[in-house]
Amino acid sequence: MTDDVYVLGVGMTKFGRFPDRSLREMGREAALAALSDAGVATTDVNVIVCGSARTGILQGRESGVGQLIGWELGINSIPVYNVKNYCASGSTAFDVARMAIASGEHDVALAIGIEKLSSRVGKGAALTSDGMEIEGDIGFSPPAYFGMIARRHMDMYGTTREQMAEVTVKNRQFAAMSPYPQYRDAVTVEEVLAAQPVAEPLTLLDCCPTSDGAAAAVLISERLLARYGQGRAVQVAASVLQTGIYEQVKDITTFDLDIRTSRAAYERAGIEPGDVDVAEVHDAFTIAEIVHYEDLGFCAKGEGGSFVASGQTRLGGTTAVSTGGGLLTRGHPLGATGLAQVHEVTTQLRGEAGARQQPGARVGLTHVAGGFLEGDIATSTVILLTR
Amino acid sequence: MSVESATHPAPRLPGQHALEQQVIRESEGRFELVGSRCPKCGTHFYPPRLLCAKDLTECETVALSSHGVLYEASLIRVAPVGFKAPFWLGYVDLPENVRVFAQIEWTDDTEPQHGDPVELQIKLVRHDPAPVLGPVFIGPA
Repeated sequence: MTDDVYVLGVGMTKFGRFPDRSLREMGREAALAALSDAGVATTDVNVIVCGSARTGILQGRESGVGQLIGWELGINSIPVYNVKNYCASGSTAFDVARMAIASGEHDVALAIGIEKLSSRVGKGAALTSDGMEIEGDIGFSPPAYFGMIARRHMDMYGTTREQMAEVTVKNRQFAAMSPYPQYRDAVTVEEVLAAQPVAEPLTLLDCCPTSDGAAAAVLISERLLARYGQGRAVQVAASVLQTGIYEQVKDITTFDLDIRTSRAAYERAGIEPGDVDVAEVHDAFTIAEIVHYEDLGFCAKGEGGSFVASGQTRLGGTTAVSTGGGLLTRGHPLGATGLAQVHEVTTQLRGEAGARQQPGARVGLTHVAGGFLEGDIATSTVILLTR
Repeated sequence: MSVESATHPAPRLPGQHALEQQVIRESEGRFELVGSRCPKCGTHFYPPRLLCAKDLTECETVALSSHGVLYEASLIRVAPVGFKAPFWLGYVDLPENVRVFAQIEWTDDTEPQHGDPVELQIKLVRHDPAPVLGPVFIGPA
């Protein structure tokens, strides 16, 4: 039996290309915002968990990002865990913080996710995806992988380029209503299709941009919740992290890993996919958001294209998806993304999302699918939050 | 002019590069793409590995088939650093039930499609910053 865990506060920086902003500056801003939102003093924090993926090779700080940011806030003498888990580093930090509280070991945890991708310290080899070194020498990049998924999905299910473009159009419309994303201007389907081709059939506007940023959340035990007032707290109904099966010869239009991870989370929370009012998914590419609708159970397999075109993932639809703008407009500062998702879903469940508020949002989901190992996705996280 | 002579004028032995060391070997004057085979359960793995992931038996290194079927491909229009666009990348399924990520070269005016038969050549896949040999599948075969 584990203790219930709540999200008491969230905070994040604006996401974008900020070559002059340091890790310590962005981390400080996000963490202070989360603590302030929670009404928790720095001296009340029992444990810090910090997620980042590429701070070593890019910023010359492989370890100790959590200590760095903690000390920016004058926090010392407490346990600090630094986690690196591909694109899921931030949601992994959240999950470790949750376990730290659920186990009864700690009562107040600060989970931080951070990444700086727009500039690097010194010079080095071009980045390849972790786990894809051999493929990298052949020319691999994530757009190539998702370009193949898009072609396969179009071939098998009749999904159209216009349906994929609708994902960017929708997420840009949400972005215009949020202060945090990098790209907040509206685009049309025609503009997405006419943009610079990257990996066919995907264009530049089908792909998430390079971005820097930080996001943070304060998690608290049920035991201490009353002390801080639970008016704006959101319950962690489930948080599940799993890894791939690394199977090669398979249908690439579906991720078995995401199906397994989300079903485990739904089961733990006693929630059905149809109950999810608002979701932040790993929309690193337009086709990815479509595939995630299907794998997370928001629509049937193969129907993701018509699902987005039908408007069911917009405000008032069955599941509003990427109301925070998604990776497609925020960009994807790897370690920060998972906690930016928690920020948006928490804001939605509190009813504080303003113009982009999904009416009556009570159940929210965040999803990250991260990294590669032998052609399979390496890790997946699904978090269910309720109010 | 064959595709081979256009892009790979001079044969060379596999070098010290990780890609070449891991997946290419030279046998009787020919390059082979290699994988691993578990002597106990018969499962093949690509790239090669020491222990079978299913039963931890030590694997043997074996040459993989040079004929496969294209699973899917994408025309790369923005090249990663060290490559020149456009070029095709794809996944090829081999009879050993392994899937190989490779460059794809197409010798006629059609586009590579799911299910197309393709044939392996080991050739230069990268020139910058150093020449690297790797798997290229040619079609339609």
